[in-house]
Amino acid sequence: MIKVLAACGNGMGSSMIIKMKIKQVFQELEIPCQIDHSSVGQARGSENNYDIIFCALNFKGQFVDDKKAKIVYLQNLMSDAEIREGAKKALDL
Amino acid sequence: MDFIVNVFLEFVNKFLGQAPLLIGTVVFLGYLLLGKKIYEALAGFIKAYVGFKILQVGTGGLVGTFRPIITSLTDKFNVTALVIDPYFGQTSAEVGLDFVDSLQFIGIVMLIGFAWNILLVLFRKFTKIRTLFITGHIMYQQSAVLLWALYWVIYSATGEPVSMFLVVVTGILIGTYWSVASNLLIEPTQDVTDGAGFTIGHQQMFGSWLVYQFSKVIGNKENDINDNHMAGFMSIFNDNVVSNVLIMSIFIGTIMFIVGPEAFNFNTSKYWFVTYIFERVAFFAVYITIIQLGVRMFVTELTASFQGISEKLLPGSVPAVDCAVTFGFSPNAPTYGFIFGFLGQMIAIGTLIVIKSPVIIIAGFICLFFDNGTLAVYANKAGGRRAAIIVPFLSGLIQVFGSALVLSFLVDSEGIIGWMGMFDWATLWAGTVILSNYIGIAVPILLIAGLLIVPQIQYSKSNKENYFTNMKY
Repeated sequence: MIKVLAACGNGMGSSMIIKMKIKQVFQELEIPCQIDHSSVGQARGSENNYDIIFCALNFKGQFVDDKKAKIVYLQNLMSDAEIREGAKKALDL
Repeated sequence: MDFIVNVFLEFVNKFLGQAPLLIGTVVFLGYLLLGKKIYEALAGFIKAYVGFKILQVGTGGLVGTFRPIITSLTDKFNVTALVIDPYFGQTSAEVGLDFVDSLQFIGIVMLIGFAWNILLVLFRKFTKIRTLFITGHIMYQQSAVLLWALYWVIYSATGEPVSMFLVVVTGILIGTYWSVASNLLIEPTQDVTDGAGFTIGHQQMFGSWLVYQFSKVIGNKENDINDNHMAGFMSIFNDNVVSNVLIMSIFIGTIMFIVGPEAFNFNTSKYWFVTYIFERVAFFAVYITIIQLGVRMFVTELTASFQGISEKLLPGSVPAVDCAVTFGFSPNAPTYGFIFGFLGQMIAIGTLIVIKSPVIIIAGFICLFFDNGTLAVYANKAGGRRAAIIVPFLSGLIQVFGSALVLSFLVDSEGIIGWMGMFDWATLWAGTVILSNYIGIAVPILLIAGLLIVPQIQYSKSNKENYFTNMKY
C-alpha cells in the first residue's frame, strides 16, 4: 500500500482537489494507495511517514528531500497528466 | 393532534435544529446515495459531527480571546476594532446566528446553493452557466456570512429566528453567485493557466474579472513579474501559523499598548506586559488552526458526498476551485499582492483612525495574501508589473473601506469580531447588505435576477461555437 500525502497552504482547498485527482491516477495505474491531505506546515516533518508527497511548486524548499518520501512539485494542481507523470517518476515506473 | 405537533417540534428543535447533527445526517445520506456501505456512511457521519464540534471549540476560543481586547479599546476610545478575515467573518456569523437559534440554517443555505448551482449547470444550454463550485469550506463560510448579514439588516429587530423564506432566498442567491461569478472568470483563468481547464471558486471572482479588464488598460503585459526572483524571507508567509502571529502582533500588540496594561487582568508575577501580549496574539494562531482542523474534517466529508453527486449528474462541467491553485502559474504574484495590498490597507486603516471612524479595521492575513495574491495573478497576466503593483494597492484600500462601511451596519450583532473582507465581499456583498438595510428583501431577490443576466451577456459576446467546448480538460 503506497502512502501518499497531498499538501497545500491551508490544508483544505487545493489539497483536497489534488487528493481526488491522485486517487483517480492511482486507480488507473492499478496501484493501491492511502491518501491523506494536510497543510504544508503540518506536513513538514512527516517526510518519513509517506512514500510520496504532492504539493504546489511554490512550496519548493519547505520539505526535506533526502527522507523516505519522494516530493512531487506540481505547477498545475489540476493536471491529471502532471500528477500521473510525477507519480510514475516517484515510483520508478 | 397535539401529540403530532409535539413530536414534530421535538424533531425540529432537537435534531434538525442542531447543526452538527444536520450536517452529519446530510453526509450520511449522501454517502448512502453514492452506494457506500452503511459503516462507511456512519464513519462519515461521525467525522462530520466531530469536525463541526471542533470548529465550535475554535470559534469559541477566537471570540473569547478577541472580544475582551476589542472591548478594552471601545471602553477607552469609543471605537470598535474589527478584523477583515474570512474566519472572523464566519465566526461572527455563527455566533450571531446561534444567538437567535439559527445556526443550523447555514448548512441548509449551503445545500440549497449547491443544488441550485447543479440545476443551473444541468440546464446550461439555457442558463449559459458551465461551472460547478466545489470549494466546500468557502461555500460554508459564504453561506454563513450572507445569511447572518441579510438577517441582521432586514430582520434582527424582530428578535425571531431566521425564517425559511430568508434561508431559501439566501441559498438561491449565493448559489447564483457561485455559478455566475466562476463562469465569468473561465476565459481569464484559461489565459492565466494556459488552458488548464478550471476556474476559481473563492471570494474574489468578480474582482479578478474586473482587475483583468482594468489591467489590460493600465499596464503592459510584456513585463511579467515572474521573470525575476523574489526575496527568500517571503517564504515564511507560506505557513499561516507564522503569518497570523506576525500580523496580529503588529495590530493587536499596538492596540494593547495603546490601551495600556491596567486594562488587562494578568498575573504580574508570571508575565511581563510584552509576554502577555505575545501570548494573546499567539492564541489567534491557536484558534484559527483549531477552526481549520474542524472545518477540514467536516468539509472533507461533505465535499466527498457532493463530488460524487456532481460527477454523476454533470459530466463535463468546469470545476471552480480554490484560488491558491493559480499561484503555481504565477509564483511571484502572492508576494506582490501581499506587499502592495498591505500598503493599501495600512493607508486606509490610518485614514479611518484620522477621520475618527467608529469602526476601525484590523488587517487579516487571508485577505492580504490569498485575496490580493489572486488579484495580482490576473493583474500581472493582463498588465504586467505595473498592474501587479497598482491593483493590490487599490484593492487594499477597497477591502478596508468597503468592509468598514458594511461593518458599521452590523456592529451591534452579538459577539461580532469581523467581516469577510475579501474583494467581492467588500464590494458586491457590502453593497447588497447596505441596500437591503434600507430597501429590504427585494434587494437580494432582484440581485438573483440581475446576476443571471450576466452569463447571457457573456455568451452573446463570446465565440459561440466553442463557448461550451473550449475547455481542454
